[in-house]
Amino acid sequence: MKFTYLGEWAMRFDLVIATLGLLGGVWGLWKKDGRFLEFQRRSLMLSCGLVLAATVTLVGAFFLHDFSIRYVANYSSLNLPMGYCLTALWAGQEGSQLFWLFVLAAFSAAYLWVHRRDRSDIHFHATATVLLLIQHFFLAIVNFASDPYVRLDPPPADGNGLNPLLQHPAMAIHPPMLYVGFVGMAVPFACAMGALLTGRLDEGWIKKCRSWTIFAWTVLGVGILLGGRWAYDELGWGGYWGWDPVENSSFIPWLTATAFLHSVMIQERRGMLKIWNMSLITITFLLTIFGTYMTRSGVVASVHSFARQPMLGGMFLVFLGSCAAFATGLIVWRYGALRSERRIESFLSREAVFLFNNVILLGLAFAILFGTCFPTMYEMVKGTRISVGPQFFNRVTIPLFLILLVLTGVGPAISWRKATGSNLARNFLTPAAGAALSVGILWAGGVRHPKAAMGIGCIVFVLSCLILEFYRDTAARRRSTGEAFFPAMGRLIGKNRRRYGGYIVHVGVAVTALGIVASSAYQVEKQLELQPGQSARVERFRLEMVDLTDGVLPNAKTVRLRLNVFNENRPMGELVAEKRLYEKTEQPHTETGVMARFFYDLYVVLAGWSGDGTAMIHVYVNPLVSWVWLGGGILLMGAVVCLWPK
Amino acid sequence: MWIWVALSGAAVVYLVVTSIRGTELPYVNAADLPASGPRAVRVAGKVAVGGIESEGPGDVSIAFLLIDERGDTVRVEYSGVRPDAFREGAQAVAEGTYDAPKAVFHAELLQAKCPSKYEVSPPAGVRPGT
Repeated sequence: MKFTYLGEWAMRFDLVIATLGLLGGVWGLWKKDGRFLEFQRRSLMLSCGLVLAATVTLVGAFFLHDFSIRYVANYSSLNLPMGYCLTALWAGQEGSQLFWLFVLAAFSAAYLWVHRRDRSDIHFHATATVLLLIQHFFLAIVNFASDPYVRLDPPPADGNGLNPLLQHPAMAIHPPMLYVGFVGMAVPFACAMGALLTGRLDEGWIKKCRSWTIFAWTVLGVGILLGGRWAYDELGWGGYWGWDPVENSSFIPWLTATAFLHSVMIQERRGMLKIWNMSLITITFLLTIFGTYMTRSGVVASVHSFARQPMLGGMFLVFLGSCAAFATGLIVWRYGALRSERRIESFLSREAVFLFNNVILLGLAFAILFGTCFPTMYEMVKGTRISVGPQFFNRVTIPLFLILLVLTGVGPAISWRKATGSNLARNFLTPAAGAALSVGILWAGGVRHPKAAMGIGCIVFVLSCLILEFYRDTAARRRSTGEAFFPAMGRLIGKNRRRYGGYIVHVGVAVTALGIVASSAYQVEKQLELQPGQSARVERFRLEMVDLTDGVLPNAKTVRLRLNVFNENRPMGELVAEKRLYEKTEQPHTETGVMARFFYDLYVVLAGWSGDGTAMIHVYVNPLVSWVWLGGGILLMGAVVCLWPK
Repeated sequence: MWIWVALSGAAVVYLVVTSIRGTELPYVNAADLPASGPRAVRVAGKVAVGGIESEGPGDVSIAFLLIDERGDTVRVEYSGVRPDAFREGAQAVAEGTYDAPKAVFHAELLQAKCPSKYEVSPPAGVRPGT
C-alpha cells in the first residue's frame, strides 16, 4: 500500500534531521549560541514527529494486512484478532527496535514539553543533545541493521501468523511497560550528562532527574511484575519467576535505579556521594542498553531471545562502549566540582544505612549479572557449555534480599547524621519485638522453614516500622490540629508527598516480599489421574472431574478439562484448563486454570489425557500469590503519591 | 566508612563467585554421557524428525531421540507437562541423569524452543524484494 512509503521515508529522512540537529546542538553548546540551541530543539521535535509517523504507519500496515512489508507478513495473518495487530508491532526484532525508538521519541517530546519553561537554561539544551544522540543510535539501527520496512515482491496471500504465546492480554501491557521503564532511564542519564557537560552541578539537575527516574523505575517495576504474571498465567509451571536471562536483564537496572533513588537523597540533603550518583545513573542506563543487547542480539540463550544477529550485536557493543567512555570522560573532567562537601559522621545514621543499602543493591545487581553472563563467558574461555540455574540465584540472592528487607524498615525511621540511643529504641524496639513474637508464634504453629520464618520476621519488622512512623506522625498532627485520625493522615501524606509516598512504596515492597516468601516456601504440587466423576484431594481441596471435551475456536482446536472444586465440602465453583492447538503454527498451547483467592491460588494444568477419557492433571496450591501483585499495586500507588504535581 | 563499604562489597563479590561452584550444571555431548556418571547434567540438541514416541498430543510420558550438535543421538525419556514448543525439529534442552545400562537419558526437566526462536523465515515461495 502506498501510504506505507510515507512512514518508511519519514524513518529515512529522520537520519538527516537528527544529524543536523545534533550538529547544531553541539555547536550551540560550544559557542553558547542560543540560535543553534533553538534549532536543535526544533529538530528534536521534528525528529520525534517523524518517528511517530514511521511507527504509526507500520501499525497501520498490520491493521490493513499489508503483507508486502516482510515484517507484517512474518508476524501476522488475515485471521489475527484486531487487538493483536497492535501488539504484533513488538513481536519481532525489527519492530521492537522501531518501538524502542518510538518510546525514546515520546520521552524526548515529553521532556521538551515538561521543562518548556527552562528554555533559557543551557542545561535544558545539553540534556536534549544527549537525548538526540541516543535517538540517533536507534535511528541508525532501524535504518541500517534491522529495517522493519523491507518489502516482499510479490506480496504473499497470507502472513505467517503471530506466535500463540504472544496472543495474551498481558503481552499488550508487559512489553510496552518494560520498554517504557528501560527507555525512561535515558532521560535521567541525559540530565546527568547535561549537568556534566555544562558544569551546572548544583541541585537543579538532581531535582529534574529524580522525578524522571521515579517514573521510569515505577513503570519498570510494574512491568517486571506483569511479566511474572504473564509467565504464571501462560507457561503452566506454577511459578512466576524463573531467573531467565531476559527477566534478569530487566531486573538488574531496576536494582541499580533503586540504589540511585536512595543515594541521590544523600546528595540532596548532605552534598555527598556526587561521583557515586553520576556513576550509578550511568550504570543504570548502560544496563538498560546491555539488557536490550542481550535480548536482541541472541548472545544469551533464553526463552525470550531473538535469532542471533552479529551486525546488530556489534553496533550495540560499540554504542555501549562509547557511552561508558563518554560518561567516564565527563566525570573525570568535572572531578573537581564533584567532591563531597561533608563526611559521614556515624555508622548509626541514615546516610550510613543508605550507603549500606546501596552496597547490597549493587551486590544483588552484580550477582544476577554475573550468574546471567557466566555461561557465555565460560563458553568463550573454556569452549564447553554450562548452565547456571535457579539454585545459584536463590542461594546468593536470598541472604542479600533479607538484609535489604530489614533496611527497608530501618532507612525511613533512623535519623540523619547521628542516631542517638533513644532514637533507636523509640523507633525499632517495638518492631523488633513484634518480629521476634511473630516468628515465635509461627514456630509454635508449625512453621519450621528457617528461611521463610526469617523472611516473615523481617517483613513484620518492616511493616511495623512503617506503621509506627505513620501512626506517630499522624498523632503529632492531630495534637496540633485536632483533626480526626484518617483526615489527619490524608493531609499529612498530602503535605509531604515525597516522604510518605516513599513509605507507601516500602509497604508495597514488603507485601510483595511476603507473597514471594510464602508462595516459594509453601507451594504444594500434586499430579492426579482422574476419570469423569472421580475426585481427588489436594490439601484441603477436593477436585472432582466433570468431563474432557473437544472444542473448536476461530483459529485453534482445543481439549477442555472441567473440574468442580470443593474447599473441604463447600463448593467453590468450576475450574477450566485447556490445551489448544493453533492451526497456523501447529503449536500446542497450555491454558492454565487458576482460581485466585486472597490467601491462596489453586492452579491447574492439563498435562495430558488418554483414549479412555482419563485426564492427567498437575495441581498447585500457591499460598499468597495474589499478594505479589497486590504489593505491586501498592508500590504503584506510592509512586503516584511521590510524583503527584504540587 | 569507605573501607567498610569496600569490605562489604568484597564480601558480596566473594559470596557470588564462590557460589557458582557446585550449582552450575555442565552441558554434555551425547557421546560423553556414559562417562558422566550419576550426576545431573544437561543435553542440548534437536528433536529428531520421526523420533517422538507417544500416543498423541495428550500423552504424558514421551520418549524421543535428541540429536546433539555433533550429530550423535541419545534416547531421552520424560514424563510430565510437555513444553508447548516441543515438537519434531525443535531445539530442546533436557536436564537429568543418564542411565548407562539402558542407554537412556531420564529427563527431569525439558525445555524447548521453536527451531528459529521467535524469528520466522519468510513465507515459502516468496523472494525478498526491496
